[in-house]
Amino acid sequence: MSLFKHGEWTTDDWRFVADDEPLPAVGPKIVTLARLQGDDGEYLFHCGCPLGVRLESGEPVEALEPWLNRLSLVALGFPAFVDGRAFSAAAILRQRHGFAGEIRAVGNVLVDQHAFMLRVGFDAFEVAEGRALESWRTALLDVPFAYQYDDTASTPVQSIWQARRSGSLQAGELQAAE
Amino acid sequence: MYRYDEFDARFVADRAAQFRDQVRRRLDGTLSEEEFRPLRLMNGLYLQLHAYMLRIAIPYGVLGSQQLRQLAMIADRWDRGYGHFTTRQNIQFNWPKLADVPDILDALAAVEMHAIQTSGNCIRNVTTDQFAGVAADEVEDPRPYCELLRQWSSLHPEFSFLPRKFKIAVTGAPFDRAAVKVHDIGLRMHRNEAGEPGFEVIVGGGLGRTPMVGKTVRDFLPVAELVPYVTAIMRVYNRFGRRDNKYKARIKILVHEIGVDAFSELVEAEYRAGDHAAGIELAVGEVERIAAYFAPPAYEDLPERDPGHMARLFENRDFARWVRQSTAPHTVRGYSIANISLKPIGGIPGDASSAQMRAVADLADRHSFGEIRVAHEQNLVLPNVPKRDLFALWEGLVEADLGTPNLGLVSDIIACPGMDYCSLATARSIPVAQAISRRFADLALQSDVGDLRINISGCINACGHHHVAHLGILGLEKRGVESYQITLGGSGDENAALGQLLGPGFAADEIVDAVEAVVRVYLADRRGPEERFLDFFRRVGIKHFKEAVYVPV
Ligand code: SF4
Repeated sequence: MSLFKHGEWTTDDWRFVADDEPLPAVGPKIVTLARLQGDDGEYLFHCGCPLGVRLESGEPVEALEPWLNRLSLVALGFPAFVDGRAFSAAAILRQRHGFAGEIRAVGNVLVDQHAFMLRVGFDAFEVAEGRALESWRTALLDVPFAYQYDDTASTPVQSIWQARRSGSLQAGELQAAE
Repeated sequence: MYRYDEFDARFVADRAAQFRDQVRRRLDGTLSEEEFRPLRLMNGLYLQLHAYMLRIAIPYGVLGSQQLRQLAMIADRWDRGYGHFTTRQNIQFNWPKLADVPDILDALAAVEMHAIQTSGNCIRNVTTDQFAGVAADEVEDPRPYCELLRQWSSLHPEFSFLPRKFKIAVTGAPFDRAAVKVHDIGLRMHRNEAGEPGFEVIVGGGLGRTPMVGKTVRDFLPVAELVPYVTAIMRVYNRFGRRDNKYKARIKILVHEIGVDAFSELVEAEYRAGDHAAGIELAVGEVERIAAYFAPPAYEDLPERDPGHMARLFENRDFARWVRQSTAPHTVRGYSIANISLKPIGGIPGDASSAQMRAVADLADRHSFGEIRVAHEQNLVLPNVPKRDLFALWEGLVEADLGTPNLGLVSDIIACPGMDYCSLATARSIPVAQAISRRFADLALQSDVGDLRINISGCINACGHHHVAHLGILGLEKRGVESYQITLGGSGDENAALGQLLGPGFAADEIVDAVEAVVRVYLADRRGPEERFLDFFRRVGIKHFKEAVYVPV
C-alpha cells in the first residue's frame, strides 16, 4: 500500500488495527466503527495518541457524531469503482460537521476518481501497488476547473461560478495557466 | 441561446484532451478494455452490437445552425453520413472508429458541444419542452434553469458514481411536453400566489422494467433554491439508493420502497442540515448571467395574419395540411413554431442524413434566427418562424425530404434502436416502426385517425417509452422468436398514465395487423373525430379492444 497525500507519495504513520488484533499501546491507529462503538470505545482515546476510524461504504457517517471532535482521521472505504457512497460521506463530514482531520480513501482507490475525491474533501489516498503511481501526480491537472461551488473543501480545483462572480480569474490568466 | 464563455470552453477542451490521452492508452494497450470501459462510458462512448456508438449531448435540445452543420460534417467524415436523434434530445452516431473519437470530440468542442455524461451512472443531459421560451402557453422560460443544472451536474464530484443513471426534466408550461412525471426528477415551473416563479418537484418517475409515475415532494420550491434542494435529493439517493441489484437501483425504487413521505422527510432533513446562503447567492447570480443569453431575438413587428401566407394556405392543399399538422402557436404575434418530422413514411424514426442536417441548418438561418430544437419525439423544431416565411420553409423542407405532414399522427412513431444496433435488445423495433408507417401511409387516413401516438421499445428497458404511448409496443423474445406486446392508454403529459396490457403478444408478422385492428376498433366505435383515441380508450376501457382484436379463430 502506498499513501498519496498533498500531491506527494509519503510514508504512512497510521496503522489499521483489525477487530481481532490487539491494540498497540502507542502510535496513531485506525479502528473499525464496530470497535469504536464497542466496549473499547472510550478506552481507545486514553493513550492520548491520535485515533482514526474506518467506515465502510454502507455505514452511516452519522454514527461518528459522538466522537467526531476527538477523531484525527476518518478512512472511507471504496469497495468498487462504481460505489460512490463515500463521496457523500466525505462531503457530509466536511460541509456539515466541519471535520478538519484527515479524510482518507481506502479500498479500491483509482486515479480516475482522484480529482472527484479531492473535491469532496478527501486529502489522503491509500493506493494498491502497481496502480500507475506516476499518473497520480499528473491526473489532477487534467481538468483544473469545476462548476460546483463549495466553500469548505480543500480543493486545488477552482469553482467556475465563483471565479465568474469575483472576476478573479480572467482569460489572460487562463492562458497563462496552460 | 447559451454561448460558452472562456471557462466553459476551457472545461470542455480539457475534458476532450483528457479523453484523447485515455484513448491513446487504450490503443497502445496500457489500458485494458475493462479499465477503459468506465472511462469511455463517462464520455458517451458505448460498445454496441456491431461497433462503438457515440452519444452527443444536445443540452435541453437547443442547437445552433453552426452546430448542426458540424454534426453533418462529423457524420460525413467519421460516420456513415447520418445521425440518429434520440428520445432524450441527443444525437447518436452509430459507426465511429475508436481512434477517431478524440478528433470528433475536438470538432464538437469547437462548436461548444460535448459528449460528457451521456452515459454512465451520473446525471444525464437535462431535457425540457422543445418549445421552451416561445410556447404560447408557457408560464416561465425553463432554459436558464436547465443550463444552470447542466453546469452544476457536469463532472459533479459527489454524484458521478450514483447507483444508476439519473434523468432530470423541466417544463415551464402547464401542458407538459417534457414528460416530467416519468423522470427521476421532474420540475414543473409555476407561480405562487405572490406571482413568484418556483418549481413543483416530482421525484421517482421512470419507465424501464418497473414503470412509475413520479410523486410530488414539494409543491413550490422558490427558483433560487433549486441547486441546493436538488443536491439534497441527490445526496439521499446516492447514500440510500439500492446498489445490490441494478434493476432496483433507480430512485423510483427507493421512493417506492420507503414511501414518498419517508423519502421526502430524508430530503427535507438533509436540506435543513446545510447552510445554503452562499451557494444560493452564487446560483442566483449565475441564473441572471445565463438568462441574458436567452433574451428574445430581434422579432419583427408583424401582423397576426400575413396576407401572402393566407393566400398560400387557400391555394395549396398540401401546404395547408403541413401547416395544420406541423405548426404550433408562438408567443409573438405573426410568428409560428414549425415542427420538422423526422418520420418519413417507411423511414427510420429520428434518423437524419448529413444533407438533411445542412438543409435544416440553412433553413434555420433563413427563417428562424439560426436556432433549432430537438424534440423528445425524435423530431426537429424551428422555434421562431415568421408566418410570412412558412411557405418558403415548407418548400425547402419538401425539397430535403423533410416535409411529411405527420406530426403527432399514427406514423410519427418513437422507436428505440432495437436489435439493429442495441446489444440488449430482445427484438427489432425499427423495422416494425417502418412497417406500421407504411401501413398507414395514406395521409387522409392518418388525419382521420388523428392524435394517436405509437412508441416502440426493443426490450424491457423501455428506451422507446412504450409505457406512455397511446399505443405502446414492446418487443420481447419468446422461445427464440420475437413477440410483440401491445399496451394501450398510456400518456406522458400532465395527466401521465401507464399503458395497460392488451393481451398475449403478437409475432413479427402479426403485429402490424394487430395495430391496424386496434385503430379500426377506434375508428368504428368512436363518437366522432372529436373523440380522440386516448379519450375513447378512457371511456371504453381495455376490454372493448381485447374482444375486438383477439377474435377467436
Ligand atoms: S429499449 Fe432495449 S433494445 Fe431498445 S435501446 Fe433500450 S436497451 Fe436497447
